[in-house]
Amino acid sequence: MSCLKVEDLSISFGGLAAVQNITFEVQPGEIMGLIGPNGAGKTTTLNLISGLYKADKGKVFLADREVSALRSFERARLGLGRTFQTPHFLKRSTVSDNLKLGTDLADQMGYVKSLLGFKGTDFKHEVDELLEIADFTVRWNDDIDSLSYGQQKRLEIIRSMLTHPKVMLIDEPAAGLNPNELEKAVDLMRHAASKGIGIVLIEHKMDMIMNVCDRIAVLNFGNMIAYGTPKEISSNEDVIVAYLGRD
Amino acid sequence: MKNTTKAVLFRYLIALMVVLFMTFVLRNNLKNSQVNVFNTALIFFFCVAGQYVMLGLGGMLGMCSITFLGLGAFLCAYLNTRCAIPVIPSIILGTVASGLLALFLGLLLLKLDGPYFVFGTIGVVYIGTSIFQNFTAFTGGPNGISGIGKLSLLGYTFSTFKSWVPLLGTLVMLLLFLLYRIKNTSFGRGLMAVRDDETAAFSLGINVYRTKVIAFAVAGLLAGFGGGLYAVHNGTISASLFTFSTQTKFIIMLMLGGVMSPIGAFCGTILVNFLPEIARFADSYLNLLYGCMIIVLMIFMPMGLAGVQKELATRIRTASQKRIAAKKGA
Repeated sequence: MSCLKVEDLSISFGGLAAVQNITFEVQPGEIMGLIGPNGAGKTTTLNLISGLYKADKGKVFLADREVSALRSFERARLGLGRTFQTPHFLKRSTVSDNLKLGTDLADQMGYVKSLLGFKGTDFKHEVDELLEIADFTVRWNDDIDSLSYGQQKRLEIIRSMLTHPKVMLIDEPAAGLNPNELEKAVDLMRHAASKGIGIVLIEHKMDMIMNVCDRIAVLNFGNMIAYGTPKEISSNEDVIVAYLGRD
Repeated sequence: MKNTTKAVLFRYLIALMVVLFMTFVLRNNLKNSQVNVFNTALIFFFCVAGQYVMLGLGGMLGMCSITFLGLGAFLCAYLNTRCAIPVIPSIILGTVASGLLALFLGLLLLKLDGPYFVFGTIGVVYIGTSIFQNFTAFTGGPNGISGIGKLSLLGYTFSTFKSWVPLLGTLVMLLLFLLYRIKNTSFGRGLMAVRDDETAAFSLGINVYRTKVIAFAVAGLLAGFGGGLYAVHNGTISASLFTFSTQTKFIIMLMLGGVMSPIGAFCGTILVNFLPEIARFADSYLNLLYGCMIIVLMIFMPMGLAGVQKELATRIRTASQKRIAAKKGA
C-alpha cells in the first residue's frame, strides 16, 4: 500500500498551466525525487499535495485515504509533514517552542487538555537522537534566530520528523548548506526513510538526487516528462534535453 | 527536588510577596483616591491581559476589548440592581455574555485579515459606545447605573477601596500565572505560530482560524470579568468610560510594558493608570503626553519596558561572557 498517491493533479494560475496531470505514488520508506528546471512546477506540486493550493483537478491520497477535499492543517494532522525552501519558524520564539510545535502535532492533545496541564509524550530521547544524526546541539531557550541557516534547515527536517508523519515533503534541503551539513541532512532523510516514512524530495543537486532517491519524477513546464529509477532517468533522452544536459 | 518544581515554588513565593506588599505597604501608604486608581489599574489589567493574548501571542490587533469590558460591567450592574441577582452570579453572567459576544464577533471578523480586521473591531467599539450611551433601559443612558451591591466573600464584605486590594492583587497574580501557562501550552504555541508564520502553522496542523477565534473569545471573557469587577468595585458605572479613547489607552498600557511579556503588560498598566496622578501639573496636556509616548515607544522601544530589560540582560550576559573568556585566555 502506497503512503502517498497523486492522481491527475492540475492547477492553472490565470492562463498559465502550472501543473498538468501529475500522477505518481510513494511507498513507505521510499525517497522519491522531484526534479526539473526552475518554474517547472515542483514547489507548486508540493503545495497542491499539502493543501496550501487548491487543485483545479485531480486527487491526493494519504495511505489510501483521499484527502483532496481537506484543508492543509487537516492533511498535516493525518501525517503529511512539510519543510520549505526557506525554513519557516516562529522567528520571535525559542528553539524549544519551535520543536514543541512538532511534538504538539504528534500528540494531538487539544488546547483544553494542554491548558489543564496534561503532559504530552516525552520526546527528549527522540530529539536527542535526531540532533545527534544532524550533528549539532541546541540550547533549548536560545532564540531560533541564534542558529545558523544550515542548522535551521536541518532543524526544520527534525521538527517535521517529530510530527511522526507518514509522508514528508522536503523542498530543497541542500540549498545554502555546506558539504558537511548536506551530508547530515541526507542522513536525517535516510533515517526518516528507515522508519517507514515516504519522502518526496525537491532538489537541484543532481549527485544528491541520484544517490539518495529510489525513484525520480521529472517535471518540465508543469508536465511530468519522465518517471523511473535514477538509472532510467539519467539515460532518458527527454530529460537530458530538458534538464540534465549532455555533459 | 526537581528544578522545575523549585522554579514553580519560587514563582508562587514571589506572587505571595507581591500580594503581601500590596496589602500591607501600598494600601497603608496611599491615599484613598490613589488606592482607587491602583485598584482600577488591577481591574483594567484583565482587559490588557486579553490584549496580550490577542496581540502579544496571536499578532491580532483587536480594538474592541473596551466593548466587552462595558458589556460585562453593564450586564453585571443591570442584573444586580434591576433583577436583584447577587453580585457574584452577576459578574459570572456578565463574563459569560462578554465571552459569547466575543466568540460570535470573532467568528465573523476573523474571516478578515490585517487592517480589515482592525477596522472591523473599531466598528464594534462605536456600536458598543452608542448602545451604552443611548440604550437607557439597559444602561441608564448618560446617568449610568448606581447602587450596585457590595461584594461579600465568606462573610467578609468588601466595603472600601482598601479592602479590595488583597483580593484584586491575588486575582491579578492568578491571571499572570494563567498567561504564562497559556504561553507554554499547545494553544499558546499555536497562537505564536499564527502570529509569526501562518504557512508554518498550517503545515504543523494548526487550525489558524479556530485558534484566532478562541484567542478572541478568551480576550472577551477576561475583559467581561474585568467589567464585572469594575462595576462592583465602583458601585456605579456610566457610559463615558467605554469609548475608543479608553481602548487606545489599553493598547498604550500593553505597548509600554511590552507586548510579548505578561509582567511587562502588568507594569505598563500600572504606569499608565498612575500617569494622571504623577503628571498632575500637566493635567490639560495628558493627551499630548500619551501621543508623544506612543511615538517615542514605537521608535525607541517597540518591545516596551520588557524589551529594554531583555536587551540590557543580554548585553550584561554577553559582556560577562567576554570577560570570562578574556580571563581564561590570559
